[in-house]
Amino acid sequence: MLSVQNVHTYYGKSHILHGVSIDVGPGEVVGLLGRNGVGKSTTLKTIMGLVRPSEGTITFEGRSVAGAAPYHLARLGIAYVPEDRRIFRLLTVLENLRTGLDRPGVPPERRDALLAKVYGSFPVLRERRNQAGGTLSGGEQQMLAIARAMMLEPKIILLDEPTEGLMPRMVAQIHEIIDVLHGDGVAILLVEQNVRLTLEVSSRVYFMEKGVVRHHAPAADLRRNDAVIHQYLGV
Amino acid sequence: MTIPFDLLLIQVINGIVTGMILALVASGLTLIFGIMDVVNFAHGELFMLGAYLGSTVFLTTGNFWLALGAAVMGIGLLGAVIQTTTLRPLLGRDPLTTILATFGLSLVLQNYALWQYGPVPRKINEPITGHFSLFYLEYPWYRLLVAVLSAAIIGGLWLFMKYGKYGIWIRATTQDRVMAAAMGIPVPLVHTVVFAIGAAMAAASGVLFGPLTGVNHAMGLDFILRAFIVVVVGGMGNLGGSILAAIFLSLLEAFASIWVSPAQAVIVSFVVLILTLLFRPTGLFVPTPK
Amino acid sequence: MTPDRLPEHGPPHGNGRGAVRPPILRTESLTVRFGGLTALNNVTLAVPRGEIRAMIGPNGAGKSTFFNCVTGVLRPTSGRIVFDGEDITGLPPHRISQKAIARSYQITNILPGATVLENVRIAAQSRHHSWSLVRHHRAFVDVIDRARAVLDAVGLGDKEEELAANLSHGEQRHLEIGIALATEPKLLCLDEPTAGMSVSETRATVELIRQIATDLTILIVEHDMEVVMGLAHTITVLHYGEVVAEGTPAEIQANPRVQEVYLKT
Repeated sequence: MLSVQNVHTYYGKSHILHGVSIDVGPGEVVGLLGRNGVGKSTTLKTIMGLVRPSEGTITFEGRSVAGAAPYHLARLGIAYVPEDRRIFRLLTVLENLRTGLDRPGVPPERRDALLAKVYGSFPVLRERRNQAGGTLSGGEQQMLAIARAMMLEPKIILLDEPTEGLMPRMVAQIHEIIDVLHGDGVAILLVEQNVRLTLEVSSRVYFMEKGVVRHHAPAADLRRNDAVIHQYLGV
Repeated sequence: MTIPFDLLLIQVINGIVTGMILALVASGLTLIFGIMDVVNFAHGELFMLGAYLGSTVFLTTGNFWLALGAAVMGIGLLGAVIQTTTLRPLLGRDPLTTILATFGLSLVLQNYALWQYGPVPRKINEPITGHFSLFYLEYPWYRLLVAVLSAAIIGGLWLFMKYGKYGIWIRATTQDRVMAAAMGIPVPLVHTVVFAIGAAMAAASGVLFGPLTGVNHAMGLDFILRAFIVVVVGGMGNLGGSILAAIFLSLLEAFASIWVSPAQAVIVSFVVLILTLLFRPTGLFVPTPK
Repeated sequence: MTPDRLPEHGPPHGNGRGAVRPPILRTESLTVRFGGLTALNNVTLAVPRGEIRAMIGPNGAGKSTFFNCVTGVLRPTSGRIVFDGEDITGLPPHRISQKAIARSYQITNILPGATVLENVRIAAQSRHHSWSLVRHHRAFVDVIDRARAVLDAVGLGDKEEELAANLSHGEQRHLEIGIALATEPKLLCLDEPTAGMSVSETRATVELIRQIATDLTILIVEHDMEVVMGLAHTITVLHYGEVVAEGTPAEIQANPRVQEVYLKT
């Protein structure tokens, strides 16, 4: 469904991605692991059109989307949850959700159903729905960022390090949410440094190093043999 | 020397009235800057062209309100065209390029106005004539109407941004345009619409101002200058701040004109500007940055 | 498909730690707080003269903050930094530079409109400038010679007339290192010198650092483990602003606490 082929991305002259290739099938949860600075976030940003690749192709459902505008990709069904969450601090929780909900072609019943569903998964957001986004705690902001992406009814969500800086209890919540999304048939490309969570939710995992994908294995194999993990993530 | 109470009250009213029009002009400026980081040096020309367009419509129809409506629509549309052709391609580049672009635009519009309308001043008549007695002065009703209308327009804008269907789009894009785009908000379109709104507000101010000073090429030149001061003092991009700053500065100037001539009273605004830049450069009416 | 390991490199003298000479850089209980956030917490370490010391740690561990303290960009909340026997805590960057500490940046700080030689000459000049106009001419020649020597050291000797903007990314990073070298530092701080480089450019940079390390102390922040393991004599691991482990590359790799920090399993 999403196919990234041989993508090169530069920040100015800095060559960050040296030919990255990744595939995500419909409904799949795919992990992308690697140390800091290897280009995981840059890969997601390139897919989402926040940064233009200089080479390579990106196809989504058969359409070529490399270099397309982010709002176009969101309309096509790709949602993005950035590493620093980037919720709209001065908008209320509900207004944050509405940035994704207020789309053309969504009848009121579906709107209400979507809201109800997300409030069901994240009761704390219903409680705080009229509070400004900036007043939420870190974990709550992460929930909001994911809920906001869900409002787009996406076919795939690009999740950038959702558990960073979160307490173990919230990490468990993230796990649950990923399960719910997976159950709904939403594909997820998960960039993480938390290996355990990634192995638990993903079916396949890519490993990146220095701007390239170096290894690719089914999660089941990795759970049995973690030598690869030490090689690409350890010290 | 004690100041007579009636003089004080008159100046307060004057200050608030002028402040409201100033707020209307400044709001458009700060709105544009807040969302797309563009300092619109052509804002004064949009103000002036609005007045001229209004005067033309007034000439043919004799109706003030039609003139106001036409100016708002016409200049709003002009704003949209300007933004799409000249400013949109420059988005993301060095901010200096947009400053040069709007400055160039202001020169083009100035000369266009001269060519289109000629050097002879025009007239717009106020829709309500008549005065009421304010102490020893005959105070024109129209001045009050202007203040009320300005407040209404600004209020309408605020309501639209807060509760309107697409108000969220504008507010989200102002706060984080990259993330807004990632949420499916068509950011380039939002930019165009906001610029058009800003231009329309400038045009409305021009028509409202018209009956007070007459429509000519130099109208509101120092007015626009004050608008820029207001935007800086109020905090660039801060809508509420610029409204407060507009009223604050106008009141200060009104009081100052008790002792000196109005032309000299503008010094007060400059003093406030310098003090703001020295001590609270993000704006007087902005919460202390963390 | 295992990437080749860079050859091991031993410490310059004896065991490389707690050597006989006093450390060239020492911090005592260095703490940096930004409001409620503690970026560095009681960091005490000592870098012996001539060592290549790497600082590693996950995101947000405090490596950049540490760098910024040592190079005078940031003032620590408490604690001391002692360089070559002198307390340099809280000194501004230009004074730090005078103390012979140089730094390269993650985002290159070269002057794109100037030639390669000019870039380095300006840095070299900062060391030996005099106010006298009469001496000026002869001193100028010396400065150019010094600049040329630095360019040779970083492998850009044949590109001295090239505009810095026209260099490749790897060459620009080497120029950056050259600019730092031209100030004749005793301590060179390198901030992610191989970021954005291809594998071959990385290897070239590692070689370069090894060559210039002969009479210099080097402090390097890096994410690339191959670079770190191959270059460093001693590694300091930071996590949440605290020193979690310190030791030779072999010791760090064998340290379970470090694996824990990095793998979060």
